[in-house]
Amino acid sequence: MTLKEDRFTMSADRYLAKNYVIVYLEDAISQLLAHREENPKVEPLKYLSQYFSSLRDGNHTMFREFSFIKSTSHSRASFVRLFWKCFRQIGKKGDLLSIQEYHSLLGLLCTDFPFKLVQKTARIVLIDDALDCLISFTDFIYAFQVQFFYEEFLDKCSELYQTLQQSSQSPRDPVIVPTSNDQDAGGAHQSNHLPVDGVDSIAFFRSVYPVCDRVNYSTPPVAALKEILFSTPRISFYGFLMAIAKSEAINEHIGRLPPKMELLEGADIELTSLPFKLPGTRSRPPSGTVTQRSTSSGHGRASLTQLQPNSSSLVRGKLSEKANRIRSHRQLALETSDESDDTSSDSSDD
Amino acid sequence: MAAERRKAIPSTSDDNKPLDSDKQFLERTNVNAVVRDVLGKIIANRPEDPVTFLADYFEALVEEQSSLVQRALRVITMTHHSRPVFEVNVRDSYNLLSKHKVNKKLKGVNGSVYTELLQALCRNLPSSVTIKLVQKLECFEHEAVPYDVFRSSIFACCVLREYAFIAEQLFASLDIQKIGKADKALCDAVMDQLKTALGSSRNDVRRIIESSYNLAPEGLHQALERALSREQTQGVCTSEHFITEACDSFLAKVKKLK
Repeated sequence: MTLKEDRFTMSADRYLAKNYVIVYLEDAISQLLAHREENPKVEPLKYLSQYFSSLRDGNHTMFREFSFIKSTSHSRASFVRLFWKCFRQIGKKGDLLSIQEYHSLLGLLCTDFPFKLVQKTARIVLIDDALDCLISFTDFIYAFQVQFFYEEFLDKCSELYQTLQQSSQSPRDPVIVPTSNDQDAGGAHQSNHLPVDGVDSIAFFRSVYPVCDRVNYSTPPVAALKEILFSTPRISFYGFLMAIAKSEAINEHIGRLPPKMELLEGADIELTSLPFKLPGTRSRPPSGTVTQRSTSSGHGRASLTQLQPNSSSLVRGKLSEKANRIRSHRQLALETSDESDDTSSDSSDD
Repeated sequence: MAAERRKAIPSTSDDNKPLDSDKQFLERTNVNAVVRDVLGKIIANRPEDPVTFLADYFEALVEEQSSLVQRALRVITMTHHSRPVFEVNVRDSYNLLSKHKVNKKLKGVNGSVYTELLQALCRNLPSSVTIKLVQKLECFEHEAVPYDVFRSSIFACCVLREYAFIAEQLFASLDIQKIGKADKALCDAVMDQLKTALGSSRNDVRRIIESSYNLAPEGLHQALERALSREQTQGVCTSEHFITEACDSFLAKVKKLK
């Protein structure tokens, strides 16, 4: 709210930078120029209009380079949604995939997507161990969302966590003492008994709080963090990340994925219309992605979607082919392996 | 497949083309001017969501067939009515509407196109409110609408729009159980405060201060407390009813044009 009020008083440069206006305008022009090389008769204004409406609708990230997707929070969130839209059927079938497989799925949408980010996501789901476990789609996507969207914030938290842990391990225990006043005796009591398992969550909140909304990267809403950290006396770092990934309030704050209960519902409608929503983007990158609008507002774009039915089904076919291949491979592996593999990943499911 | 798509990325393909031709292309197709223009508009208007603003702006450029009223409406809603640039926008939209053809020889803003714009501005308000407002601000269809009339009517519309929006939020906070209906006693208490506050005249300084106190959190709290202590259930009040009633007390302050 305070940031919103500020937009009239801040300098023009600051305002433009904060909203990435220049990033988008520059990208639009360079895309236009690249597009012109293959289509000399392009109508620039029409092209720009399509570029910005697909940007507004969050359909602009498909097949773009990672550095572009990462450059703005809007693009990051849109990319997570795109991933969800394209591979929802995996979650519907209840398949569990390894991190390598998730990485190759991401690679279909963004060729240079770094593996490290997928690894970090897996650490959230699996609480920092056994990275070769299989992960369910639902767990993966919410963890992926917070890891990708709040990457800088989580790095900062990790830093703060380590500082806090080191200081609380010292015999003087300077951080925990003041909290024993407003916390009940249980908190202080526990802190004496479990010095290594996590940190005092109130103290952790105090160190994280100054970061929230005061930096130029996205941070989760303070209320949601309060809810997480005030409900437990001690918290481990990956427990904290897991709670962020599972928080409905934070998911709502990002505002792209539906709540967990509805994540896999209604997939059939979207899925059947997916061929029209993934038109060939090679010859007209943003205009193609324009057509990925949600069906409710997509009437005006009907003519666009019919422009390139062949290439759209081609892309769609390739995507689902790849997904199927991974799935069948998975099933084979599941059938041949014994149950221990399966149960371990089931437990991470919840 | 995805690797092929990377061709579309400028960094890999730009080198083949001489940069000069890109520059000429942007100059020739007027993209430079358009981008400069939209950047200026963004800085002046400071929209909350510049991406939507950009999308709307380019959409409007491409869709020439949209009516004058639609275009005027877009210019007016570019920014909040408290901003200095609002004045400029209203002027622009008036100039746009002046292209309206009254008959073969005559162009200008007449009552019919003016009423159309007012109605378009009030589209989201309850219809009874819109009718009352238009009645107050009405010009005859054949009348020419001078700029000062146009400006003050548009301003009244914009303020009313925001007022209705705030009334809706007020109702939402009165709707404690979040069922779309609020207790009538509470609504009436708030409405009474509002009416007394709005009833103060411009010259009576004491009453203005009093009414601002009455509408402040503390004053409202007291009124609501009183209403609750009376403890009588009078039924419920719907959102639309509440907004309409709030708007009515606002409209009572709008002077009739004629």
